[in-house]
Amino acid sequence: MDQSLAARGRAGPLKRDSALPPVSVGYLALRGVTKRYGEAPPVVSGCDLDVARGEFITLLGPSGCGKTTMLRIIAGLVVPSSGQVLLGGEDITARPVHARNIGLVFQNYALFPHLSAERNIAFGLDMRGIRGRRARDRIARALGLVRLGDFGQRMPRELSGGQQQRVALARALVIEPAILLLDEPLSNLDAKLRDELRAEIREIQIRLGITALFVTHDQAEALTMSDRVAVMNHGRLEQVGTPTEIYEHPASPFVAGFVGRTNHLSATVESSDAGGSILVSSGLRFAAPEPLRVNQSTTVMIRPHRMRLSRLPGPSRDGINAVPAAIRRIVFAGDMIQYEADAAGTILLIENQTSSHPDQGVSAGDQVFVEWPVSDTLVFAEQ
Amino acid sequence: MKRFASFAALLSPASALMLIGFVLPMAWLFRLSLDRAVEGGVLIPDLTPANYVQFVHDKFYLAILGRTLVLGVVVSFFTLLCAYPIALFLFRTRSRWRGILAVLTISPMLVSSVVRTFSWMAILGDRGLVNHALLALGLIDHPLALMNNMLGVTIGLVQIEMPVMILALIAGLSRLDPTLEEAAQTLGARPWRAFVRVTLPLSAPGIILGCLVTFVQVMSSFVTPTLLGGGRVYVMATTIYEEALETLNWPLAATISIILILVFGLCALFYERIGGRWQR
Repeated sequence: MDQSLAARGRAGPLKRDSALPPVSVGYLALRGVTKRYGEAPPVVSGCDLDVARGEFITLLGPSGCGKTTMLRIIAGLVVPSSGQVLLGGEDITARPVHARNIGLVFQNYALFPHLSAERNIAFGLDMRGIRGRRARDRIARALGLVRLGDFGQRMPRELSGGQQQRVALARALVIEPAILLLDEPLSNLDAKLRDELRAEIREIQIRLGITALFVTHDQAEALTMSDRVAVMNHGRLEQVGTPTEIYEHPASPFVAGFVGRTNHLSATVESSDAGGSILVSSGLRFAAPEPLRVNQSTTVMIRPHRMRLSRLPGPSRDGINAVPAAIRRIVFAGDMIQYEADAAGTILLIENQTSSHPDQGVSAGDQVFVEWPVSDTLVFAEQ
Repeated sequence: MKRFASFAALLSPASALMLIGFVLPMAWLFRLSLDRAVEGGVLIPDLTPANYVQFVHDKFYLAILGRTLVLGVVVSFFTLLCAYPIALFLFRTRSRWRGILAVLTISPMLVSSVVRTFSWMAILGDRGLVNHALLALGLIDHPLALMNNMLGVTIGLVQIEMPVMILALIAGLSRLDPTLEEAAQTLGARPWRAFVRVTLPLSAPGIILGCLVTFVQVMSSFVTPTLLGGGRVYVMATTIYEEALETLNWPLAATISIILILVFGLCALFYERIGGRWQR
């Protein structure tokens, strides 16, 4: 014990002096975690992840990407085929669920239907031998935290979905868990309630300073709530970064395509120099910011909201790409206006804020130029 | 009004069947229980509660009622004990054999309880499988009295009632959300405690239903107590048979039948009360 503390104490200065990338161990750390069932491809494959104390991290990915399995591995409900789970520097891979001190909020709430809200919350305390007055105080505080002070006596069936999920949150938090795990907790709720509870969960997490791992397939949830987002696909972590990094600098076409809307083009590198390269995609020519190998096949992604329309044949200003296109369709969506433009056979989607781009008098069939900054051209070399 | 008419029309076949097949015979049975019989089975029409008075005052009959009630409770308890793990396994398993296992579990119901009782006689008899094996191994000197007593009747009835109990338990468990036990474990409950605190109370509707059905079936069981009891275990059903067909005291047989029905009625009432509390 002393030894490991000393070792951790030394790790700090060493890390700063070293030229190598930092190898700090997160509060929660996954090391090469893999889960396979039989001969099928692994559900979770070689995942490394470090979560800092007090951090809110989201596992984001499509259904079947392995994010829920990953959460269940951390909770101890699934035993990984290989790899390690570390919590607070301790290897907990082999520790049974009940000994992990983890708060888990389920998608379907999983409240005990035969117990009142209060007794649901008391359950975890009871298991820890906390009863009587001390338990009552903590239960009252937990109910207050989720703004359900007067609902302690209610049975789960007498509560709405949102209230049930609040009780589930209180039940997970009252035991003061080492980490709070949330498995798509909002997906059974309607849109308005979802937004409300989203903000509330984040607020509580910050107030308590608790480490939280949130699993969702909803990119808006991931981007708005998290300190960092880990995007998963086919059992692998595609990218881990802040919401801005994930959105602005996606590490792979999958991340770019999954997080936010995007225009997707296949392009070949025509020429390249230190200042950037020129790409060609079925009749369209445009520039990309980085040098690339000539004749390299690439996938190009451009965010619709980075594009705008221009009536003039933009005299190829520096740092701006412009391609001619015909407007096919205009969709007015309140605060936003969407254009669908046909650029030499490629359909481009353009999204503009209504307020910052008042109606330019463009109508379907018009010949226009679609412009976007060269720096917003995301290029992924194809293998 | 039209609604009522169509309800009545839809219910009429069932009502007619119940009236002819149940209510009328019951009424006749009750009427019979108020008659008197003299030696030799001669029936004397009367309106007397004498048979009921006789039943309540005769220790012999009260002991039979008590024994039958005890048998019902004991068999229900042991059937529950044996059936619960099987039901829980069948509910939880994700094996592809699940369907086949479920069918196997209830397949004894395809065999008449007479046949099943006879096979128990072959197992429990003095020269049966169990005693033979124990004698051959030298573990005992004399055969154990495994049948022709309450023990034999209990063993036989537990096995016979198990399929019904398992079906009732599975029906009760099917409404149980498997994530509840996981939730209990994440909150710090060891698997055993999670079971006791969450799964067991939530399976109560199935337990109550299964025990009620078993209890009622045991109370009215005739074949197994007759054969495995070897004529030495008197329960309500065997006594009714004896009074009716051997002593030829039909009014007393009717009286015992009515008392048995009253016990069933009390069970149904109890189930209404208890069961209602667990319904959603």
